[in-house]
Amino acid sequence: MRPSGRPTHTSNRVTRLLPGGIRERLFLLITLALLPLLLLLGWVYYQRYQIRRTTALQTELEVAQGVATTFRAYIDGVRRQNYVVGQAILAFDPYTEAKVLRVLTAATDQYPSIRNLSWVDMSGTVLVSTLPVFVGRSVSTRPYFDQILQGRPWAIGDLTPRGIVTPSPTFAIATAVRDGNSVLRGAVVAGIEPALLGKLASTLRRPSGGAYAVFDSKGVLVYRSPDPQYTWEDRVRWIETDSVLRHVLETGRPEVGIAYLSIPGRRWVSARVPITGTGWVAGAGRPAATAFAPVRRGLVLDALLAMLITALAFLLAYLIARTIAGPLRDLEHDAEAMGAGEIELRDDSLAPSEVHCLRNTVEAMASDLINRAADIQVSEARFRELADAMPQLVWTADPDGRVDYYNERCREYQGISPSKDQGYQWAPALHEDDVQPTTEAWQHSVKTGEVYQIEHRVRRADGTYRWHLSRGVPVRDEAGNITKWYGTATDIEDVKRTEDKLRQLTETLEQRVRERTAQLEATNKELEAFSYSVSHDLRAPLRTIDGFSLALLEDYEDKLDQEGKEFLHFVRDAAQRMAQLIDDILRLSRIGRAEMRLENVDLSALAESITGELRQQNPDRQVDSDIQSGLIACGDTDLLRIVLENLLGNAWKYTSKTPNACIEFAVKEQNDERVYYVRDNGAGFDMAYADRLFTPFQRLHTEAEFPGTGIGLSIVRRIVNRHGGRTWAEGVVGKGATVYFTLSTEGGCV
Amino acid sequence: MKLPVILLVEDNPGDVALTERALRKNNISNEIVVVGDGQEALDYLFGEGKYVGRNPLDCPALVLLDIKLPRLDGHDVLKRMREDERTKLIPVVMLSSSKEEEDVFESYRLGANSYIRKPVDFNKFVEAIKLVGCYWLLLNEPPPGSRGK
Repeated sequence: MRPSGRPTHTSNRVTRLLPGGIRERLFLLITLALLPLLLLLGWVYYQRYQIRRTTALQTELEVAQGVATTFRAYIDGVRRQNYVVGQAILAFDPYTEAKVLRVLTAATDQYPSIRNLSWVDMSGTVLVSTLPVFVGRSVSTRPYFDQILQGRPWAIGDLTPRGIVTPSPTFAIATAVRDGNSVLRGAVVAGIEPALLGKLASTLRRPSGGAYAVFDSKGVLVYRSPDPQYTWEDRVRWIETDSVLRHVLETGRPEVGIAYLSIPGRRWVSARVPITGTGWVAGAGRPAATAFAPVRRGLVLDALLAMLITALAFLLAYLIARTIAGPLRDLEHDAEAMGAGEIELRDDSLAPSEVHCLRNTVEAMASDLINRAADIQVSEARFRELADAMPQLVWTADPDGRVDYYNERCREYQGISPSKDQGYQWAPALHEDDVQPTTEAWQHSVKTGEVYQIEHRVRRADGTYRWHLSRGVPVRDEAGNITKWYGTATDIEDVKRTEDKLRQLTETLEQRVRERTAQLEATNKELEAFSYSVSHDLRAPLRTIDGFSLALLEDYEDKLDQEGKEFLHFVRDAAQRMAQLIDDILRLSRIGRAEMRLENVDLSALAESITGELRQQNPDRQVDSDIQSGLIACGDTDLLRIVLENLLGNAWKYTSKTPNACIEFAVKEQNDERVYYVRDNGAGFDMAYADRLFTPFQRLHTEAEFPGTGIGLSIVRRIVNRHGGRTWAEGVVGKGATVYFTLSTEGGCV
Repeated sequence: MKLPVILLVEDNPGDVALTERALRKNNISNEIVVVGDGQEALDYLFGEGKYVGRNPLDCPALVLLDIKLPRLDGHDVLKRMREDERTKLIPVVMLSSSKEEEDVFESYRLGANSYIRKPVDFNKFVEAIKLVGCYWLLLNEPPPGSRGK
């Protein structure tokens, strides 16, 4: 994942098609530049070939036409001579065969190709011939004779394998002989042996492998120069491969073409032209190889030239590529050297300017890199010093989780050592029971990137296992990928041991607490039973005592003297007082057991309400009350009400003999503590007995002075204690008393 | 016409004497039947045990019931009374030395009509009995058909 986002998709696609190296790309460039040239060369060659072909074909056509004209002229010559001979024979008067023979022989001499010349009567019987054996034979079966009979002035017969008397292929030219009244009197027939036509055609002999030929109306080869000797079979078979000839025979129009001919072999440029008025065809041809030889020669030359140019171009390209790729390779080499720390500042004057620029940039980068590397080395050295100085085992790992560094501390551990391919191996140093959980935790962290933390036993160099806390934290790059793990392993054996001890202690303590709680619960139950018994069983006798004392006083009034009645009153008072004491004890014990519900309690409002009740109960008393407003405390409303009832009740009670009685309820800050107090200017007390105030049933005044059982402040102390607070009192005899209390449940309510 | 009885369930003879005295002092002239424990109270109410032959429909006008009793305690008696159609509507006033909240709550839960804590001061006790007697015997209109024939 490269950070640069510059290359676009299209350029990527182009780059993928291009070869990788500069040199290869240069070669590609040159190839692309040369390609049009080569194409042009090919086009020129093709054009030249086409021209040559046209020329060759045209030449052959002209030659063929020449042959046709010549042959036609030959035929015309023969038939005219025949005509002249015929007219001469008709003019003979008297007609003698000797005269006829003489004329025929003279005419034969004119044409070497004419094998024989005969005079034929109308029935087709040879009357006179230069070939004596021919006389008396009939030509009536020959097609040309039919044509004569049908009225044509002359006719040419196709080539036959042999003449009527001659063994070699022959054809005949017959001319009708008519008298002055145009009555057919006979015919002069010239038998011609094609092999002898060479004499006639010697003027047409062609150089450079050219040939010409004459075919009869069936396409049988009549004559071919320069090689006139053919068997009959070859003459007949010629037409099989000569498509041009077949075409001309069908259409009757001149034709040219290039075709392979089986009789002479090879490909031939052939022209075939019909010979007018005969149905025969004249032909001319040259082997294609000969015809196109100049073109091919040109091609070879051009190809050689093109190859030379191409080779030169590539050589040049190679040289230029070297001047580009070479400096680049040098630069790469130098950059590598710089990267390896071998600083080598060189200048490459032959390099292209861009490479030169690049070199400068790379050099700048390299020196920067070297500076940074130095910085990093310093910082790494610092890191190592720091890491080695640490009491923990310090390690780093690559993103795949392979540990690649341990600080010096690893010498204190057995089994941690570098291995070739996997970095540092730490598993052997672990207690066998911890290997699996540790490996799993580490793999999990490496996979998820979560902080790695686990406690495990690690073997120290002395072979002992000690508990360690291992912790690894991933470091991420800007993209959020983990680049490195940093971790420590801290020896927590001592902590562990302390923890264990602490746990044991706690367990013991808890056990004791449980035992004590159970004991307390049992005691509490006993106490409850006792309370119940007290409230019920102890009161019943008292009631009996009181009831029957009263019954005595009422029913035996007349029998009791004044002193007796007084005694019974003492009995009743004592019984009632004891009932009061029992009730007080029960109240005290109930407060100790009551459930507490903590909430915000408005102490000011409570105090106001209580003083209001006191005023109502004692409407004749004049008491000033100064209650600080807005005192909110956290605690149990019912219990705190009992506290204030007792304190304010006491203050009310002990100011009963004080003029200008004043009661104050307020709070003060003392040693960062809120201290509530109820102050009065009443009877007060001697500070020597300050502590006894809070003991149940301890009184500093007689019942006669101030009534009461002495349970009130005990209840206050118990309630305040349950709120985690303290109580104390200050007083001066005759000047008044102040009772203080704190509540540690402050702030315990929402 | 014979006044219906008051059933006093109380094991303490002193308390029995005092209660009777208190009732008398308040000029309540109904016959007072005293039983010493819970079981006897039920026997009386349902005409069982040693009270076989007594008509259970001849209901007491008032039951004064102590909580702490031998055998069945006051709460058991009250529970059984309230479960039975015949005794369901008889007014029951709990008389007890206990001021324990649980006792008071349990009594009312089981259907007691009043709960009086016997004060130690006999004058106060007389006062309390006076109020109870006046209310339940004189002022209160009993449910129809509850008066014995």
